[in-house]
Amino acid sequence: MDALLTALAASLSWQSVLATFFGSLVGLIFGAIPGLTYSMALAMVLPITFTMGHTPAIAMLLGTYIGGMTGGAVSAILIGVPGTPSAAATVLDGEIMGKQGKASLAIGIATIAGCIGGILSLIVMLVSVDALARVAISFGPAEITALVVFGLSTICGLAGGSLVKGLIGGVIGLMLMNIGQDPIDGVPRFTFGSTAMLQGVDLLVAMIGLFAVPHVVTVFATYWRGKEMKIDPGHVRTELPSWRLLLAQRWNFLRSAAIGTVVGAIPGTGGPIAAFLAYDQAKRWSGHPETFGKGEVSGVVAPEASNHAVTGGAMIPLIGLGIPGDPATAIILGGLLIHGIQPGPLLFMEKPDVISSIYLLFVLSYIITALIQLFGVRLFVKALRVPPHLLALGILVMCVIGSFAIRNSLFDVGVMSLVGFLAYWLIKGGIPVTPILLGLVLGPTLEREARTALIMSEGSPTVFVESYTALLFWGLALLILLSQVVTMVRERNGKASKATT
Amino acid sequence: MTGTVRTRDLLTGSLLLVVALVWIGLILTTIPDAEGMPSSARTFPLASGIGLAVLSAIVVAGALFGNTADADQKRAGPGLDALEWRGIAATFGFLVGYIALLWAVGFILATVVALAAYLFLMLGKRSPALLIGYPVGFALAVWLILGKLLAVYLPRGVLFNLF
Repeated sequence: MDALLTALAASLSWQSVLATFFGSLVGLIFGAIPGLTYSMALAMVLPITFTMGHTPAIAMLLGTYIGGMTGGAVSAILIGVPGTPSAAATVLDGEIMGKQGKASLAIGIATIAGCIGGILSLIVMLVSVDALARVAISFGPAEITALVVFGLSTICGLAGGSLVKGLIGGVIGLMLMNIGQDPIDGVPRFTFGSTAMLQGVDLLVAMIGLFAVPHVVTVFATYWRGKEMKIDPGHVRTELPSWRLLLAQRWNFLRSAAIGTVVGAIPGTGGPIAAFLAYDQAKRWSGHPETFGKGEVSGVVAPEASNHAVTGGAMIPLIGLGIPGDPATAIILGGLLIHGIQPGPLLFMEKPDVISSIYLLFVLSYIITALIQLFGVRLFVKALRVPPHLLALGILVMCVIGSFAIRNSLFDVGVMSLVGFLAYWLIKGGIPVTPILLGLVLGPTLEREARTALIMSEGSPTVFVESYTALLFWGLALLILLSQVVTMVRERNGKASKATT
Repeated sequence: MTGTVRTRDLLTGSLLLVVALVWIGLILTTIPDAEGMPSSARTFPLASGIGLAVLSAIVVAGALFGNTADADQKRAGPGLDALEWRGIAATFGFLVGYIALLWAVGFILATVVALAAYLFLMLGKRSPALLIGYPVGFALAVWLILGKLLAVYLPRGVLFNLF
């Protein structure tokens, strides 16, 4: 009890609150601009924390981490370009809601969903940090491969009208990530002797091109046709979600937060997998799945609750075992070590006040981030009042800067442009974009983990089906694939019988 | 890429099939195989290439022999008209020109010049307030907030730099 009171006093001191506010704001800005990542934001604020006490330092790092995760949804909803890979699934319905004049509602529900998802994941972290950390760490390359294949199976739900075209999109995403050095042996692939090509296609760079360039081309063509939508300022409502709407989403919050927490606890996975899995599950459990992709609120709630729950999930191996699951938690771990805090089982016994501070600051970061976001909604939606062609020009410049900032490379800007035009042609050819993104996100993990598993098993493919966990994920992936095939056959037969009558 | 779903699928599928075959050819000729190893740098690209070839062949076959009674009548969505081509050319032209300017003169000058030129030449804007205010305001805002306040590294020119 003493530890909790000490932690409460330290966490609610003006220094900690100010540090959380600053961190959340920086994280939100970096998260909202496509190309700038919250890992970059964390790297930027880390030196600032050196001179602070450990509680404000943790406050700033957690604020930045959580703010960055939240910011991704703003650009996903307002301009249809996800600020972070974790917000990619939010575009599917969030952008449509924005176009329907419900941008503020979408941002509001995304913020609240994120806050609830994050806090639910904290509750799971509180009660299961020890047990879940041990389960999560038992995931080897074979289990992660099976999990990633399960993640890829969501292509079935995102393929639109044609499963084959959805799979083509997924394969193209995987192929793009094959360019550059191979992750195990370092062999150059498709580099044609170019040193710049060795670094390959960065996920964020590809993601920016995939979403931004086709959008910009369409906006300019619409402007020249004289059909540009005149935004009526009255049409852009600043409406926040009602209690009734939030209550209707309760199961979606819980299910998505559970998915996010579990996925987040597994090192090397992360927000995008969790978000797509949650989106797919929300669609499957919905009574009206046909509304998904057309501005469905549940389609915003699921990915946002899930990707925020990843933050709590990722803290489980970090705090419980001292193992970071992604670059962002690795930077947080670095920050903790600099301040003399060594995460792991001993920390719970030796410094219970620090553990309590981390929990409290986690909640504080979510509350402050949500408040900034909800108060900022009026400001954010003002962006929609700018004529679309002028906004598109600004988006193009920001995408160039974002692509450049990832590795300080103009080569990446060129890659972003090429991926964008490839995406445009594919869209025109009837190939959906979202499966391409899934291939991009999951491809490197799939190759790295599958090859590592094969090396460890000396080439025996049975390694992939030896554990119950892996079998569970394979079974779930197969189930999703089969159910999609059955649905499509039924739809086709239904159409054929309608045509004959 | 205009016309019916059947035409569109035939074109897209054929093009992707060619891409897949070229991809497989490149793998077999440029990426070394690792003898005796369970997997090599070739494994995943080859599997992806074969996957694309099979899937695009299914699309082509579906377009040629599929029992899609309405495929010939069904429109494939908006095609590429002259304005859409103009949109592609203008966006790609802007990106190429902007990248070249960033390389040569750095962020601020490149952004001001590229935005002003695009507004004037492509979007037909003639208002001096917009032609000066938008590019200068945008470039300075990004430079101040991202470059100075948040310490994001912005491109620096090899020939000339402002600030």
